[in-house]
Amino acid sequence: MKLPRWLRWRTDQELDEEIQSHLEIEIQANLERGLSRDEARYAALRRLGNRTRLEEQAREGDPLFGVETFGRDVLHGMRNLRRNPGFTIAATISLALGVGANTVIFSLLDSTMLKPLAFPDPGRLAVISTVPAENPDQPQTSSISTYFAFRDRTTSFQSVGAYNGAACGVGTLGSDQDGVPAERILGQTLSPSLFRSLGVKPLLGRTFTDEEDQVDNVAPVVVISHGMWQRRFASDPAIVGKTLALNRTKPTVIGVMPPDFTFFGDQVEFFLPLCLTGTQVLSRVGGNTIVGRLKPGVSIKEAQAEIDTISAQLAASDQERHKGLGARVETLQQAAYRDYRSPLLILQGAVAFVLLIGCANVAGLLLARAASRRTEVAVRAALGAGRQRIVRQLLAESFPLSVLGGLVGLLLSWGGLKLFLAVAPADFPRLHEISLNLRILGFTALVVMLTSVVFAVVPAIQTSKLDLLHSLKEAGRSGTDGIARQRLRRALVTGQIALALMLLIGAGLMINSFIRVQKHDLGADPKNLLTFNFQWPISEGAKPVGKYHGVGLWEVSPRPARTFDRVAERLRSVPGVLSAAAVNIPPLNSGTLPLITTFLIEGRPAPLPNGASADESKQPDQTANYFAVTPDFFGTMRIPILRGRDFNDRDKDDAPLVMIVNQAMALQFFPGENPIGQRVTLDLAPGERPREIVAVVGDTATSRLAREQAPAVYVPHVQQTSRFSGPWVYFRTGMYFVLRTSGEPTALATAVKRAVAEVDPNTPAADLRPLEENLDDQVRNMRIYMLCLGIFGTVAAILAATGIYGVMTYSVAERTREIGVRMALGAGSVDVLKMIFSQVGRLIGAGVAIGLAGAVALTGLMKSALYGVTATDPATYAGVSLLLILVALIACAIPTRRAVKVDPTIALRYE
Amino acid sequence: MADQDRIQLLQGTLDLLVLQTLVFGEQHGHGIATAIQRTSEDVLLVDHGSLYPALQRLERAGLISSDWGTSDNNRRARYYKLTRTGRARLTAETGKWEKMVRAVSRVLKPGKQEA
Repeated sequence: MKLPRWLRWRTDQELDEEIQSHLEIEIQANLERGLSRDEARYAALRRLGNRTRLEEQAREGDPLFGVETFGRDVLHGMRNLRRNPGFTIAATISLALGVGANTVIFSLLDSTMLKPLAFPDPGRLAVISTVPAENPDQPQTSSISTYFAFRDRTTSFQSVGAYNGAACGVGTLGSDQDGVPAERILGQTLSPSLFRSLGVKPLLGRTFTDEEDQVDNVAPVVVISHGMWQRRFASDPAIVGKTLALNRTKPTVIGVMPPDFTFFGDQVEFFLPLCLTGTQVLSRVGGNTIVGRLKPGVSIKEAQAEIDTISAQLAASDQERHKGLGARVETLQQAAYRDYRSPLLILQGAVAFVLLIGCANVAGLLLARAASRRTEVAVRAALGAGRQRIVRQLLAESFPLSVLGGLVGLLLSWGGLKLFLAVAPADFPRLHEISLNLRILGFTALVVMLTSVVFAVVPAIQTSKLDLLHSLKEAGRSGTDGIARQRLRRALVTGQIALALMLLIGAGLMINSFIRVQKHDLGADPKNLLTFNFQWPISEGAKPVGKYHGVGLWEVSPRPARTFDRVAERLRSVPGVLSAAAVNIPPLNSGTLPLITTFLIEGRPAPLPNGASADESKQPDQTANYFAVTPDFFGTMRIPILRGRDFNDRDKDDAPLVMIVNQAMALQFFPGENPIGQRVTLDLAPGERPREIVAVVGDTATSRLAREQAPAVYVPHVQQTSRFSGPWVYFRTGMYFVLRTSGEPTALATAVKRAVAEVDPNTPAADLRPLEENLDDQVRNMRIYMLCLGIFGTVAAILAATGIYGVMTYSVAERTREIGVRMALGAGSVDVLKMIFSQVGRLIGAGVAIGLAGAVALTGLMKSALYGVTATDPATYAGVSLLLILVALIACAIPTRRAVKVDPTIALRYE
Repeated sequence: MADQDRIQLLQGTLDLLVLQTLVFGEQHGHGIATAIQRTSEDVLLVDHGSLYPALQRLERAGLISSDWGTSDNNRRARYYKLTRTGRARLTAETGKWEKMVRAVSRVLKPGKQEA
């Protein structure tokens, strides 16, 4: 690269000319002193010294000169890359894989943890979570009374709002809307002040006022999302003031949110006020997420101090609702994406390993090349290049390599992100915002720059330490390489093996966990089961009447239960449906929302009554999971009835009360007895009377990931009490249907929807899908995590194998003469093998030892993601180590073969 | 004068000498070297190899400027002359130099007041 004349301080040509004129004057002077022509010339030249060096020095100070030489060196580097396509491809792939993986994971980190939330001044948004005193690291949602207390008493916050994850956030858009069949849509209930706290303005209309969210008196208003506005109202500009058929009510649309208001997820399509009832206000039950906007200049720490004080006051003044509860303040971004933090950081660590292994590969290759370039460098040094100049040149040459690796890496990451978007769960935060933005490109550029320095500086320093004379003398001879360089390369390979092993062990633990999860006996047969949720709005099937055990109490009408029976009856006649039943809680997915009841066994003393135990915060020991089911639930799910009989149509609300227990319940509470015929009184709601146990059924998993078997009771859904606890009344106005189908479950979807609509046109068969898909969803995050670690581990192993291959090939090539001599002196193939393998063995052994130690130290971080295996599972450690050793040995096979086949006569003559 | 009697220039003094030489008018590179050598009565020998980098350095710093001209014996040569900045710098540097020389001699010959 030559800079244009006008940019340059002085052209080389000018300097040349000046020096030429100097020489002529000097020669003239020498001639005048009486020297001969030749002598005069020679003396002048000698006096001037090394002309190249002079020119180099003269240029050195030119600020533009640095740019120019760097450019020239980069060009030189690029020519070198083109001349050595094998080297270039190997190095580029090594780098690109590392850079690509880093960019992908960083993009995910960026979208969840770094990219500011799309609210004005998002740094001032904070979440106040309730934390139990005995478990301060488990932030939970808060009760309404906690929300009110913080809202009314805090001075650190400019405004405080709350949103609720509870039931009225699910809506049914009625078929009377516009003739379109009823459909299930997702919504969010939130306090009017939440919009103020977040600082969002509607696109059209307005958001709620405080008057519209009075306790027990909610205004019939709704705000809809931009997506809903487009989808169902064709972006009607006059939408505000029209009504929406939602949950069999007709709220007025008062506003449309802007398209970028997707904080609650893309699927949330409407927003309602909190819909608070008087009993909810009195309750201790949580479910509300409190979000506030800090006053300008108030730090999280200051807010935390104030909230601590308020919490302490609450706990002291209102023991029933606040005893043992504290609160924690963190930024909204931290709180919202808390669950993603640790897995993403671990993955970022994993890809950093991949990158390091890749860098080590390139450094190794460069070291090997540096050896063959000793002569070139020595010649350059002899011709007047300064040491600094040579190091700079090597850096400049590694730079295009890094850039090339970086660009290919970016391409890879683009593909990787596409792949991730394809497999990511739909609820991954800000999924559609993930893209290669400037911050990510900056990160990648930084990574590229660092790699360039890292893998160039080592060989550069090695090379510039050259002893000039020695190198020039050795030029053209392939003498043995410097010991220091050899040692460095071996250290690199050892490090690669260690890093790859740590990654592979992490991946192995995840794979092991995943296999265990898949093999986990569910206690039921999920194949060919179609499920859907049939849910009435709570307001249609129940009304609040009082309070029980500190939570709201509702009177449930018998109408929903009758409808469930009719739906089940109708479904049984759909062709292809072998049997149909329903349960009040998502089947095989109750891990998140268990209804837990205490109970009394007739003829036995009561356990410590609720509230009288020494430690009030502890659950009484005598508890069971509570399920309400229709007849033939066990048959449909293929849950074995171990003894006794199933519920049937005669177990009506006026018939004798019955219940079925699972095996865990039978073993724990009726050891050595026959539970059938025993009478038990549940305590989920007032009005429970003793029920007779009529059967024992097999245990079922509460989810794919649930690890223990809890006692469970099943009651006929029509025999539930007419009054029910408020937080769970949702489970009385809806049920989850399960259909055993003769063929592919999805084939029946349309027929099932139609059958349901025949019975109740206003309630859709929501979330209609095979049960197996639901089960897959439960392990989806785990699968992605496993996939990522698996891919990274494999890449790491391949890169490390390449590294070993490179070192061994090089080492064998270097020792060809030595091997030849040994063979000429009588060594056989076995001796050569021994020699090679003692070297390989040391490399691999050291790498594996370091890797195992590192894995023990690091895998503890992923403990919470493991299932059924410990972080130091010996089988995984041993298996993965063996695998890696095998891969390493295979990588050595070709160079070893070459070493054994050395022909002494050729090897010796070659020199 | 025999080579061993000559003194290698102290680091940094070449710049000062070049500037001083140019006080008397513009001069080309070879002329500057010759002038320094002659004025110092052959004690100081300027290394031609380092003269040109020094000239470039000074020119870049704005202390001297240059242009092509014709030498006494009709050769094209680059002539350097002192700029205003260069003149000011020379005065300052000369002052510093003299101070240093006095100080060094005081240390080397204690008790003897210099003239």
